[in-house]
Amino acid sequence: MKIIQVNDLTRDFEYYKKAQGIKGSIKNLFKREKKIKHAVKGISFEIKEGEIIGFLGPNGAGKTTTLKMLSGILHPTSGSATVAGYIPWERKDEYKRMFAFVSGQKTQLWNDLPAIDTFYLNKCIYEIPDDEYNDILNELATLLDVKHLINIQVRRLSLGEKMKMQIIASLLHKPSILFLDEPTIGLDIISQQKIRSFIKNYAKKQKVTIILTSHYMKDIEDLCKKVIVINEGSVVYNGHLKDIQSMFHMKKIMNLVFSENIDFEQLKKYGSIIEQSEFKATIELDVKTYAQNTTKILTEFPVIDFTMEEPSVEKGILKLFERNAGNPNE
Amino acid sequence: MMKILKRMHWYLKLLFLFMKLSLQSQLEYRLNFLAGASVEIACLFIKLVYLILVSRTGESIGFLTPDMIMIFIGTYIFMTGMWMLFRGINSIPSIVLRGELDVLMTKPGSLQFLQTFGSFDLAKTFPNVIAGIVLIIIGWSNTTIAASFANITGFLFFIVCGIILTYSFSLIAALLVFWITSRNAVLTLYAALWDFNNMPMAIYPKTMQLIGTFIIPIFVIFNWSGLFILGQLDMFRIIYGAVIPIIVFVLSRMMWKRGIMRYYSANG
Repeated sequence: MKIIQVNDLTRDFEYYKKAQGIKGSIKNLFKREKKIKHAVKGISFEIKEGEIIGFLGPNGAGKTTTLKMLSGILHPTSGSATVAGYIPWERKDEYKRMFAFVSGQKTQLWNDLPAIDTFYLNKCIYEIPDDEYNDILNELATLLDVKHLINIQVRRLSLGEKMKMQIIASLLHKPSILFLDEPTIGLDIISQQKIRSFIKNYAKKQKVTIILTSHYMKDIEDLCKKVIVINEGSVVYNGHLKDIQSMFHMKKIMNLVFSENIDFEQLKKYGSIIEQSEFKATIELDVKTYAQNTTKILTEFPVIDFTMEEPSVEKGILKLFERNAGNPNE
Repeated sequence: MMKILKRMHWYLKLLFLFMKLSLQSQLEYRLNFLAGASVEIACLFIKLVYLILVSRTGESIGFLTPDMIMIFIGTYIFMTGMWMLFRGINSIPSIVLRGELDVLMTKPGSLQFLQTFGSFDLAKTFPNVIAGIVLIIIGWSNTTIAASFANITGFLFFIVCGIILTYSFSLIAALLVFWITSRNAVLTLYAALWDFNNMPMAIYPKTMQLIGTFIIPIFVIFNWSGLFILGQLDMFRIIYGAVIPIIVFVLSRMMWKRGIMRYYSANG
């Protein structure tokens, strides 16, 4: 059963251009050149009940704007959408009781008070009966391993702990739809893993529908089978993650630091050099041969330090563009 | 009917919870709380110096004796406390510009209620409200005005009207952020208009009285309760004083709805 239906949804923002310096400011005082930023450009998609969909895209792609329209925070410029039969931006109470919006960048916690006070406030707002509230709180706090922290002022908690508290505050009323906007942003790898693992188990147990936005490929891979890739406000891809996974994993990036000057021509044998300076180089390695080539680089060159990283989401999207060649919903 | 009562109970419960959380939050910083209260008490003291001066001269302003003036100044101080109470309103501009309305927008209930009653500044409110009430009681008891049921009811009625006007005017001033990003000038003007009322409107020329009553009805907030017990309000002004809070409140509500439509949110 389809729970979210989005048709031709568009959101524009108006802004004014300003030239550099005081001349530009004075000019702007009398005449302003109005510009329109198309944050979301006529996107359409459908999501079935119980699905976890990943919204993948670089910063400024339109992921959060789409999520804000679906949670009723923003009105669209045009187009339509229904979530569980409700038009989100009508902001009906019945709808607001059905979903939760969790943002890695916006908090609902009272910073100077322990999280338990925000939980109690949410209990009153959502009119959760006492027994039910105690059971859910106990369950969530145990699962997220923060029982010992709920009486400590939020400002004293780490970023990861704050996010766990945010998640608890958002799930107390048992929402059937979850909008997760970059829930792991700024967190260390261990915290990211814990949050991901919690979301995965929770979704499985409660059968909630989740839209997750992230520009971390790992978030999407761990949680979602389906993905909507969005770039510059348009849907670039809408389908199974496995079909495009290779686009994001064709290359590995290796950052190298050498103890002395090296022959960069020799290094080129193993991959394409992205950046090079006197004692440093960044090289892109093919994922199929990167294990052997890494060993060779480390033995043949005077490497004193190195790091490995995944290519950016932007690069994966670029590859998608090349593959789809203007056919977004392949 | 039961549904409405249940809803009112829900809002009332949230209101007290917000007050409790605001107080708890402010008490976390004991020094700040005490410093805030101390500054307010110091400001109050300066206002009271005016009052002592007026009382000492024994001079009347028109029909107003120094004790009657005390009632008006007490009302002004009380209302200033109410103005400071609505921290949720005063924080609207920064919250809107930082895109922090997002979370509240997803909560059930009236967004206007959740934002405007979501936090209170009790450290600044208490000294003003208490001092205002004390001045009103002292002033009233020193006059020959009867503490009859009609007088007390009428006085309290116009105090409530004044609180509604304070809420609505403060909201209108705060909501201008949706149209004017930098609204310092508007706020300065609003604060100046507010301070016009630290003396009864009777001291101002007739034209200013008319402007402050009918064009920007800010005099209604502070003067109507006092003028009522002095028997200085004719039927037209009594009705006007009762109706204008509703009109300004509806106006502020309309502005709120329009403003929220213009809310752009913000990332990060």
